[in-house]
Amino acid sequence: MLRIDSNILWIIINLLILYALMKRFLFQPVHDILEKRKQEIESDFALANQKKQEALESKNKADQQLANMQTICDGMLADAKEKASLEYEQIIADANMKSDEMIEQARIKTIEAANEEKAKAKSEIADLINKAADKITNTKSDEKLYDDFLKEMK
Amino acid sequence: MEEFTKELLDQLNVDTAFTIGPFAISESVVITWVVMAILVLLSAWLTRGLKVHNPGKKQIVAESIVIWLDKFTISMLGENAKEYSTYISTILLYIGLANIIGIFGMKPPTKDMNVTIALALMSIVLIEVSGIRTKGLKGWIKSFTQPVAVVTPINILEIFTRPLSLCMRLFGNVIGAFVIMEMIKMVVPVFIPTVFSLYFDFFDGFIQAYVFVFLTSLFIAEATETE
Repeated sequence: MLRIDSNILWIIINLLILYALMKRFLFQPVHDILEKRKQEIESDFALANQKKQEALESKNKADQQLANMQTICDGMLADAKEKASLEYEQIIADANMKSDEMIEQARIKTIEAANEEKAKAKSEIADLINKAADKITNTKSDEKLYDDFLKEMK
Repeated sequence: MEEFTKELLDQLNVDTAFTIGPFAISESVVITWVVMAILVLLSAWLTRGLKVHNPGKKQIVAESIVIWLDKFTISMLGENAKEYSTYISTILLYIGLANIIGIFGMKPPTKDMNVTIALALMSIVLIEVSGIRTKGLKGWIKSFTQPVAVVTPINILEIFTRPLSLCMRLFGNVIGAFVIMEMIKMVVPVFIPTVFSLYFDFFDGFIQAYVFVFLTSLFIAEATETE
């Protein structure tokens, strides 16, 4: 019933052939494809990483530039502010000076006008006095006339 | 009962399919060719026109099978011996299909002791070769005295007991299942054999294939173990 013979050898040869064929037809092709896919994924990843690195670098550059621009801008703003404040002070000083001048002139004019008025009033008062004096003199003669007249009537 | 015994012996007998000169080629060798043809043709069909992008359904099946087999065998073999995973996978597929080929009306080749002896011989050669390749000849010889020198005879004995147990376990299980199935068929020819066939042909067939490659892998992992 049990037989152990040369068939062991045939089976071993068969199994070795089966191993070679399975490797050739199933394992090798599938492993190759999986390896290729893995490599592709890895290269894609590497490329993506490289792009990311590049993007990061350009972002840093842009940030740096932005910061530089900010500094320049701040400097310019500070300059402008300083200039403006200087100019402002200059203008204020000028205005103050001018207004002082104008006030002075106005004062002088006022004094002049007052003097003129004074002089005018003086002459007018003198006129009035003269006129009054005249009147007084005239009135006195009228009284005398009356007196004379009365005396004559008597 | 006499008749049954005779029939059973007939069934168990390994017939000679044909003879080439002095060599009597047994049935199991011929059925091994059938198993080989099924596996290789199926593989060739599955892996035809593989693509890196947009794999077809066939390719997905092929990839899943290979990935599963790789993972399964490497998990048993360990990282040191993963180069043997293709061989272990092939043996797993062969024993698995050989054990269940009975349901297609053929005698399982694993029922022939020549087949299990061949498998066990290949396993022990692979186990020792993997040990020599990893540790070198000196390291391999030294490994017999480990962990303590006292166990050296037992370790040497293992070179013979391991393949013997592998061979006998597979042979005994398959033949046991075969005999029980024949007896069930004789007692109740309807329905019941189908149910038991599911267990003895399918489940036990795969379990034995698994046990065989599991033990072989374990021995290889042990042989290639480095401190």
